[in-house]
Amino acid sequence: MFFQRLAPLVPLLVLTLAGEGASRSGWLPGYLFPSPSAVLQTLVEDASMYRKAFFETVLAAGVGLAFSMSLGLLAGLVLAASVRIRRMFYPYAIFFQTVPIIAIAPLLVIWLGYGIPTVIASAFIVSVFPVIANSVQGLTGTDPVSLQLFRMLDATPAQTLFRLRLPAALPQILGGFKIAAGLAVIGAIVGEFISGSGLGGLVDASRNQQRVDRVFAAVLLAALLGILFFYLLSMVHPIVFRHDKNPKA
Amino acid sequence: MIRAIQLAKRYASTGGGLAPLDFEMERGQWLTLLGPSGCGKSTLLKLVAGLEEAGSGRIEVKVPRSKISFVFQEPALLAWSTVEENVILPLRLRGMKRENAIRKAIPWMDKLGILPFKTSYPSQLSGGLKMRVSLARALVTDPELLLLDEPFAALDEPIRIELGLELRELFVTMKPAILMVTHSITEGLWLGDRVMVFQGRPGQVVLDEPLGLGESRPLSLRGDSRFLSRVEQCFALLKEGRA
Repeated sequence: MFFQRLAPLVPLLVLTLAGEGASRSGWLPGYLFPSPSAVLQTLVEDASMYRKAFFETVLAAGVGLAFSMSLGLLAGLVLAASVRIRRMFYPYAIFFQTVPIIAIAPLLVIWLGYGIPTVIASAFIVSVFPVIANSVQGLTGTDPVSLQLFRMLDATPAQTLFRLRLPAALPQILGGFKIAAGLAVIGAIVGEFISGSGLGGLVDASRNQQRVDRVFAAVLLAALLGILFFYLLSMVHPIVFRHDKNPKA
Repeated sequence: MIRAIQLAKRYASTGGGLAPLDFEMERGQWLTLLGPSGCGKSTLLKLVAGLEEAGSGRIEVKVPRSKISFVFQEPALLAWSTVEENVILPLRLRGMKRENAIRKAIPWMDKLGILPFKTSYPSQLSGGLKMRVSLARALVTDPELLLLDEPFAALDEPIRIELGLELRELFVTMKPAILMVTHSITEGLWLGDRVMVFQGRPGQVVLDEPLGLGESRPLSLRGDSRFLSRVEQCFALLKEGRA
């Protein structure tokens, strides 16, 4: 069990060692691919700068994700309410998936200014669609026999929603949240490219200074942030699906 | 209790459904519906339950809706709720307090042998136990009319027999009206008081008569010559309908 949990670290370890070896032997030029130890050294040396940028990104991506989860689920509930509403509005929901965020990020800056609102909006736009799509799929995919049972029991629409459709849709909804978690970080980084704050701003500034080690360090932190969000949401899984894990009697 | 007058329902897409049907049914009667797939047996159950609108004709069900229970082929249990929560669902939806609902459900769970599993989730139960939970959920409202749509279809034969015996015993005590759809001639005749056999698509009733097999239905009845002649009669009609 312990080794199974550590399994994902094996490729990382191999890649890190290979990168270190390739860099030290001169096979990879250090100004293009800094060694993992050099990246780590940069992280330690500029710890306070990275800490500040990291928490700026955490805040923006976290708030953007929270908006995505709440508004996306709400939109999913509205869209799942009737076929007519879905036909009318679902194509507009797809807008959020297809819009090239890098192209509209400058517009966000014009509308919201060079600050965290732009970054939050960017994180939200990029991450909301999977929540909407998964919520709609889950809420419209309720077992028809269970729906008949609720009709038979004269359940009100609210009872059917909260006691049947919503709990039945939770696996898909949670799946949407998990996808959104990674996308929110991407959206936040893109927003920060433009607004100049957080890890995204740091990547952009370091690129201009040709400090590839700093770029790698920021990218590493951004990836860790995505993983952190994903695992935080995964921790909800055993609580929500406690009914699924026990063996048969 | 139930009265159908020229009741019909057609499904244009499949050609199946129910041809105009007249029938009456009283409390304390177990009516078994036999027939091929698509002949309208389940449709009749849904029309009685008010889950489908009649295409033509009408149906009068003189039972309050709260006293009608439906048991589906699948147990249709809420996976995220415990056995106890599943059983009390109809009472909770009708606004009964949790403690009162549980108090009312306990004797039913006990009778159906699921009380030891009251805190288990459906994923932890066997098919037979799941169906017992489904039956307890249907019985907890003290139904006057019980609609059973192939309730034992997914179960192994020994469990089917065991549940059949228990349900017949409950029926004799409670005397509700039961309308049961089944594909098993033996099971349908063993449990029922009256049989209705359908043929064709849309289904037409070709036999509707009481079975006269008495109230008690021991398993040994299935070897009785009167019972076997009934089985042969229904089998011949169903075979004729397929020809």
